[in-house]
Amino acid sequence: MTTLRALTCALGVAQLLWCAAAGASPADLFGVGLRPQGMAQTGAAHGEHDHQSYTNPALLGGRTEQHLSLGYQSALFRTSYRTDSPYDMQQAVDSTLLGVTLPLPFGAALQERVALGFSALNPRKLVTRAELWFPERPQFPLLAPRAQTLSLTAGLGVEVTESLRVGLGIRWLAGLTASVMVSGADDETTTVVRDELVTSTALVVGVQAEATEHLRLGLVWREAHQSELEVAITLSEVGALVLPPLNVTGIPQYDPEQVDLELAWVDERWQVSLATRFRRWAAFPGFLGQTVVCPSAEERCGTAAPAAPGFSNTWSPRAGAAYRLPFTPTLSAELRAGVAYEPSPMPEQSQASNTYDSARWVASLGYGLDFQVGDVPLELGLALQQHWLTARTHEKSPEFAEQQPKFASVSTSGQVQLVALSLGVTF
Amino acid sequence: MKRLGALALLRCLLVGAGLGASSSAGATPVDSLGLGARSKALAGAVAASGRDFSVSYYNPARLAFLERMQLSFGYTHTELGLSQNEQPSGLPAVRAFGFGVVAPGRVAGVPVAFGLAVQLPRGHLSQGQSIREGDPYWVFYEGRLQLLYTSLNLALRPLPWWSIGIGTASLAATDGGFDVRGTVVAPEFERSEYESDLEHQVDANLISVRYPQLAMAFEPSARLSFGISYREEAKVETTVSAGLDATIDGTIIEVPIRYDVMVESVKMFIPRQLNLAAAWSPGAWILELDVTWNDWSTYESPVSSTTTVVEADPPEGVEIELPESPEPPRRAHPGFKDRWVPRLGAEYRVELHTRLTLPLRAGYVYEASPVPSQRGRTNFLDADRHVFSAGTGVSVAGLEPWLGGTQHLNVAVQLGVLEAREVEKSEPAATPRRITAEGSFWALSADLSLEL
Repeated sequence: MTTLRALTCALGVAQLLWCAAAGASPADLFGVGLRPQGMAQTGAAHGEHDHQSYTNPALLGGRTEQHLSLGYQSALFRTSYRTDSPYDMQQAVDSTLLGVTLPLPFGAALQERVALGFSALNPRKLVTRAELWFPERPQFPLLAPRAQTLSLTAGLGVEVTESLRVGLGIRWLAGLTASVMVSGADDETTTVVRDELVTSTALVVGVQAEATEHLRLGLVWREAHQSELEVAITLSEVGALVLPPLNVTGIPQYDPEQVDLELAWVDERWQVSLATRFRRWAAFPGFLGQTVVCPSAEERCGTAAPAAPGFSNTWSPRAGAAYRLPFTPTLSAELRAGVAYEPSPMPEQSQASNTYDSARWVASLGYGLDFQVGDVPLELGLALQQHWLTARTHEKSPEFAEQQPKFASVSTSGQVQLVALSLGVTF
Repeated sequence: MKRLGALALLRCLLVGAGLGASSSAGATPVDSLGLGARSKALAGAVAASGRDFSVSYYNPARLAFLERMQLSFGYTHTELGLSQNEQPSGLPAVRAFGFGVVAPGRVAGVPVAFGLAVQLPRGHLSQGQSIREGDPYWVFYEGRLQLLYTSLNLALRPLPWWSIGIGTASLAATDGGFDVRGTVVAPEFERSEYESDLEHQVDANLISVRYPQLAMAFEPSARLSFGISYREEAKVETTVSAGLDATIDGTIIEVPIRYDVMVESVKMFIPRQLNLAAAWSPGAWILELDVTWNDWSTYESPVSSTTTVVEADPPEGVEIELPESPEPPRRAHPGFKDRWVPRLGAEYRVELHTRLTLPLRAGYVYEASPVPSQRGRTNFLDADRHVFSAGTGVSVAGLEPWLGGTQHLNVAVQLGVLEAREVEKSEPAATPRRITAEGSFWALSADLSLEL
C-alpha cells in the first residue's frame, strides 16, 4: 500500500497541470527541476531526468528509463521600499512539481534515441495570476506576481549521434479574452458577456554536444512568452450614458525571449558548468494596455497610451557545480552549488510609475540522493536558493517629484528564498 | 440630473464586465460526448474492457492492464441541432483535439502505469456566456462542451486479475476584479466621449479546483472483466468585482461617482459519479454493459447573484436621483434529480489477415434528463436523450522493428436524439408562458493510437 500512497500523493501533487495551460515565469525565476535549481539554473549542457523539457529538451535524447518525479517548492519574497519611512512587503508562493520522462521504444535506427518529457510547476489553487496595479502604486511586479502561474512544458529529445542531441519543447500559458456588450432600448438594458480562456505557446529549442570526453556544450533558445488579458466593453443605445469602448487589457505574465549558452566539464564525480543567459527584455510592451483606444478619425483623444516601460536587455552569468559520492552500487549522493547574477531590466523610476526591481545575486545549494527501497530505484532531491536584491535608489524628476512628493526619492531592497523538495522513481 | 439616472445602465456594464457572471456550469465535455473514437463508438461502455488512452477517463485502473506504451492523437467534430420554442439554439459546433499517453512499467515487479488524457477545444481552453434568471439555457450543451478536459492518472496491478487506479482532473475559472478610474466626458456641447481620460487596474486570478477519481478493474478470466469507478463532485465558486471611480464631466457641472459591483456565481459544477461495468468477451466479441449514477440533485444554480453600491457627490444645490442598491436576489435551488445512465457497447473483430484486423463497433446509451420541468422563472433546457453510435477502424501489427505493437486507427459516429419536451409555466411572472426543447446532434471522431 506504500506504493498506492505514493501514487495518491503523486496525483495530488500533479493536480491541474493540464487544466489550462501555462508557461513560464516561475521557471525563469528559479529554474525547473531540483538539479538545475541547486546549481543556479545551470544544466543546459548536462543533466538528468525529466525536467529537461524546460532546461534543455535535447537532454531527453537517449534516455532509456521511464521516470516520474513529484515535489513541492516554497518561495518567500521579502521586499521593501523606503521613503520617509520603511514599508515591508512579504509574500509566499507555494507550488507543486511534476516531471515525467517517457523514452519512446521505437526500434531500428531510433532505438533508445527518442524520449518525451513533461514538466509542470503549479502554484497552489492557481493557474495564473493577473496583478496589474495602477502604476503609481509601489510594487515589485517582476518578483512574486511572476511566480504565480502554472509553468508547463513538454519536450522531445533525439540523440542524433553519440555526441549530439537536439530537442524541441513547447511551453503553455493561459490568457483570458472576453467581450461585454451592453445594449438598451425602451428602458430595458441587457448585458451579454462572452469569455474565452485561451492559450499562448512558446517554443524551446535546444542542442547539446559532447565536444570531448569531458566537455559538454549546451545551447537553448526560448521564444518570448506572454499571457494576455483582454476584456472589451462596448455600449450601444443605452440612453443618456455614453462611454467610449473600454479595453481592460494587460500582460500579467511575461517571459522575454532568451538564449542560454553553457559549457560544462563532466567526469564520473564532478560537473562544473559556466553559463550565461541573455534575456531580450527590451521587447516587453508594458504591463497595462490603453483603456480607451480612439478611432483613427478621432482628433481629440483623452486617454493616452501608458508610458513605455523602457526595459533593457540583460545578460545573466551563472556557474554551477556538482560532486557525486558513490557509496554502494545502489546508493549515491550528489552535492550541488551555484551562483548567478541577475541584472534588472527595469529603469530607474524617475517618472510617474513606482514599479520597482533590482539586480539580484543568487546563491544556491542542492543535494541529491539515489537509493533503492527493495527493487524500487528512488531519487530524493533538495534545493535551496537565496536571492539578494541589491540596494537601489529611485529619484523622480522634478515634475513628478512635485506630483508625488512622498515618492520623490525611494530606496528599495529585498530578499527571495526558495526551498524545494522532490522524490523521483524510475519505473 | 438625468445623466446620472443612467447609472443603472452602468451597473449593467460593470455586472457584465464581472466575468464571474459567465457560466459553464455542468462541465465537462467528455461527460456529455465521451472520449476517444473507440470508446465513443461503444457508447462509453468501456470501463471494464477499455484498452486505450480513454480509460484515463472511464476507468484509470484499466491502465495497469495495458502492456505497451501508447501515444494517441485524435479529432472530434460535433454538430448541435437543438431548438427551444421552435427557434434554433444557435449553439456552435464543438471541434476538439484529443491527446493521450499510456506509459506502463514496473515498480518492484508490480505492473504500474501512468496515463494522461486531454481533450482540447479548438482555438480556446473554455468558452462561456453569462446567464440571468429567465435566460434559455441548455445546461448540458452551453459552455460545458467548450471546456478543456484533462486527466492524469496512475494505476497499479498488485494481483494479475486486479488493478486499482487513481487520478485527478481539474476545472478553472476566473476570480477577482478590476477598477476603472478617470474622467468620463459626456458627448455634449460638441465634445466627444473619446475625450474621456480613463485607466484601469486588474487584480484577478485564474483559479482551479481538482477532483479525484478512484477506480478498480477485475479480470477473473480471459472472458470476463469488471470495473468500478468513482469521480468526486467539483465546483468552482467565483466572486468577481468591478469598480468605477470617475468624474462625469458634463461641461457645465462635474459629478464624482463611485460605483462598485460584486458578482457571485457557481461557475462550474461536476456531479459525483459512480460507474459499474461488466464485460464478456467470447471469441472475437466484446460485449459490455455499464451503469453510471450521477448525483445531479446537488447541482447549484448557475445564475449569478449581484450586489451593487453607488455613491455620488454632486455640487451643492444639485439634486440627483441615484439608482437603488437592491439586495441580491436569492438563487433558487434548481431541483435537479439524480439519474442512472445505462450504456451498452459491442465490438466484433474481423481478422482480415494475420497482421490486419477490422473492428466493428456499436453502442447505445439512454440518458434521462435530471432537469425538472421548468414551471418557474428559470428556463434550464434539457430532455431525455438517446445516443446511438457506431464505429470501425483498422488494427495493424507486425511493423517491427520500427513499431513493436499493434497500431490502431479508429473512427466513430454518434447520433443523439432528444425527446421533445414541452412545459407550461405556472409562475405568473415567468416568460415565455410555454417552453419547448427538442433536437438532435451528431458527432464524428477519429484517432490514431500508436503502440510502441
